[in-house]
Amino acid sequence: MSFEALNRIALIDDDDSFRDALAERLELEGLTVLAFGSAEAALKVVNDRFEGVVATDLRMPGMDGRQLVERLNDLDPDLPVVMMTGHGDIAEAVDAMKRGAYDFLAKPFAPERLIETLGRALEKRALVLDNRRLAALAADD
Amino acid sequence: MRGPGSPTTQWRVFGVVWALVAVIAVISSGEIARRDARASAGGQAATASALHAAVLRSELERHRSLPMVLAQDPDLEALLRRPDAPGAARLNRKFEALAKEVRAAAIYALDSDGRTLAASNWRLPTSFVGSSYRFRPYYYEAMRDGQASFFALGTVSGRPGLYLSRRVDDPSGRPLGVIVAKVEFDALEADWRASGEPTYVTDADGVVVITTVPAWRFHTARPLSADLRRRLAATQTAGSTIPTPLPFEADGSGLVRVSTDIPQGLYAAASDPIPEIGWRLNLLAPSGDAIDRAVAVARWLSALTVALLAALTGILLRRRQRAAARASEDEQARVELERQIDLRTAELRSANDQLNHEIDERRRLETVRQDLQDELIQANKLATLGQIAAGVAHEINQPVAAIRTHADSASVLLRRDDSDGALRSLANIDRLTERVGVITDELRAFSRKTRSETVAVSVDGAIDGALLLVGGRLREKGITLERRRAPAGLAVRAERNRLEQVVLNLLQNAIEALDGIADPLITLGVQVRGKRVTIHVTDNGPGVTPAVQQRLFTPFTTDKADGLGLGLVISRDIVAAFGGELVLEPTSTGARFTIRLAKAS
Repeated sequence: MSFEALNRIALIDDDDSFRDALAERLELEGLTVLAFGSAEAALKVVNDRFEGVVATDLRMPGMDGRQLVERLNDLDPDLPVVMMTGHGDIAEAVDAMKRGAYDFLAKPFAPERLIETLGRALEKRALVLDNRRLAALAADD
Repeated sequence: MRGPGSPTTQWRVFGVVWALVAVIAVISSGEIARRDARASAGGQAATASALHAAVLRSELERHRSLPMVLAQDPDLEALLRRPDAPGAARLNRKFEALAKEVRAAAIYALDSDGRTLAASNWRLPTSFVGSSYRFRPYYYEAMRDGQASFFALGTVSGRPGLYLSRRVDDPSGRPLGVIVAKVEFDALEADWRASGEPTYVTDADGVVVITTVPAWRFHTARPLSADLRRRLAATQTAGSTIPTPLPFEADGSGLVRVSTDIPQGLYAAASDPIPEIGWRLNLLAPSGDAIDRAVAVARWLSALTVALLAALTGILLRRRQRAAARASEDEQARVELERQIDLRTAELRSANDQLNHEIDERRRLETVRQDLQDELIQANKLATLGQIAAGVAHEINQPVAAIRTHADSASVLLRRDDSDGALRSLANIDRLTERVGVITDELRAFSRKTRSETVAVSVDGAIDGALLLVGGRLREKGITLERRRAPAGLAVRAERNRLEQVVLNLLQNAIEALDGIADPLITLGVQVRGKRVTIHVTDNGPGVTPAVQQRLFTPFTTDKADGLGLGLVISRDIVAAFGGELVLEPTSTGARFTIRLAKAS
C-alpha cells in the first residue's frame, strides 16, 4: 500500500511503549507519525485542515478518546478518527463509533489491520480534502 | 465429741461420785470419831473409876481397922464380960469421941446376944443402947466367923451405911460379943457427885450400896434370885423395901444408855473391884454429848473436806472440760480448715482445669479466628483481584500490544534486511516482556496466601506493588495519581504482601469513591515522624458521611453494589497485627485514610 496523497497520522496514546512501538511500525510503512501523549496535546496541532487522520487510545487521563472524537467531530466531521481500545472496552468503542469515530481496533491487534484501516481513512481524508479544494476553486470561479 | 461422755454426763457422774464419797466419808468419819470418842470416854471413865475406887479403898481401909483395934480394948472386954453401968458409960463416951475422930457414923458394942451395951450415939434419941441386932448379919456372921461387914440402912437412923463388925473373945477364946462400927459415905458420895460422874458401888450380891444417885441405892445390878430376895428381906438390908434392878444394865465397861434419874444420854461405863470386901465400883462418864460432838465435828470436817475436794476436783474437771472443749474446738477448727483447704484446692484444681480448658479453647478459637482471618484476607485479596482484574488486564494488554507491534516491525525489518532495526525491535520486545513479567509476578505474589512474621518492609516497594496492580485501573478511570515518595530506604515493620493489600484496598476504595467525579485525584504520601511512619491515601471524592464513618470499620457494611464491605475491616486488622493502626482522618475534601506503622530500624 502506498500513501501518495496523504501519509500523516496523529497518534495519541498515554502509554509510551505502545505509542513508540506503533509509531515505529507505521513509519516503516512510510507514514508520517505525529505522536502525542494526551488528547489535549494533539488538539493543539490537529485542526479541520489537518492533512491526515487520527489514531487514538480510548482510555487516557484527562480528555479520553470519546471526548476527543466529539471535539474533532465538532471541528471537522470528515476527519477520520480510529479508536484503539483495550479488552472489555467494546461498549465504549461502539459508543465512540456512534459519536463519529471512523473505526475501532481492540488491543492487541495486528499492525497490518491498523495500517489497512488508516490507509482507507487517509484515502477518504484525501478525497474530502480534494473535494473541499475543488469546491473552493469552484466557489472562487 | 471425744472423751468419756458429754460434759453434762461428766457432771452427773461427778455429782453422783462425790455424793457417794460425801455420804461414805461423813458416815465413816462419824463412826471413826464415835469409836475414838468412845474409846476416849471409856479411858476417861476408867481413870475416874480407878481414882474413885482408890479413894473408896483407902476410906474402907481406914475404917476396917477400927473394929479390930477396938476388939483389943480391955474396957470393952470387961464390959462384955461383966456388963455394968459405969463401964457402959465409960465406953459410951470413949466410942463417942472415937467416932467423932474417925468420922464413923456410929461405934457400938453388942453382947453375945446381939444387944447393944454401949454406943457412940448414947446421947441421941436414936441411941442404939439397949437395941438388939442379933438379926443383923454383921452380928451373927461376926459371932460365927470372927468378923463381918454388912451394908444396910440403919434400922433406927434409916441412913445407909457400912457396918464393920468383929467378934470380941475372952482369953480362952469364948465369944463375949461383937464390936460394930458403922461408916457412912455421905461425904464421899458428895465428893463424887461433885465430880459429875454418876458412880455407884455394888456389893457382892450386886446390890447398890454407895451411889451418887440416891434413887439407885439398894437396886441391883443383876436380877435378884429368890434366895437373895429372902435374905435381903430378913436382914433388912434395904429397910422395908425390896431391892429391884437398876433401870439400866452395865456390866463393867462399854457404853450405857441411861434415861432416868440422871441426865439422859450415853455414858461410858468403867468399874473397878474393891476386893477387900467383894465390892465393885462402877462409874458412868457422860459421853453422849462428847461423842455426838466429836461425831458431828468429824462429820462436818469430813463434809467440809469432801466439799473442798469436790470443789477442787470440780475446778479440775471444769478446766479439763474447757481444755477438752478447746481441744475439741481446735480439732474442729483444724478439720474445718483442712476441709476448707481441700475444698479450695479442689476448687482451684477445677478452676485450673477450667482455665486450661478455656485456654485450649481460646487457642483453638484463636487458630480458627486466625485461619478465618487468613481466609478473609485471602477472600478480600481475591475480591480485590476481581475488581482490579480489568485494570490489570489492561496493564498487561498495553505491553502485549506494544510487543505485537514490535514483532510485526521486526518481521518487516527482516524482510527489508534491516537486521539492526529488527534487533532493536526485539530488544524492545524483551524489555516489554519483562514489564509484563513484573506485573504477572506481582499478581502471583499478591494472590498467594501468606502469613509470616513482621519484618522490615520497604514502604515504596509495597506501594509500587500495589500501584502495579491498580495502575491500569487508575488509567482506565482517568484518575490522576499524585505520589509523594518516601525517603529512600524507608522501611516499616510489616508483612510485604499484606501491607500491599492494605494499600491496594485503600486505592481501590479511593478509585470507587471517585467514580463520576470530575478531575479525580488520588494523593499517596508517606511521612516519617520519629519512630512512626504514616502512609496516607487521599481522594477528592465526596468524602465519608458521619453516618458511614460510624460503621466504617464494621464488617458487611458497604455502600457499594459489589463487595462484602470487608476491605476496610480486614485492612484495619492487618495493620493492627503489625502493631499499627488504620484510621480515617478528617480532611477538607474527600477522604483521607492513614496507615500508622512502626518504623523498622
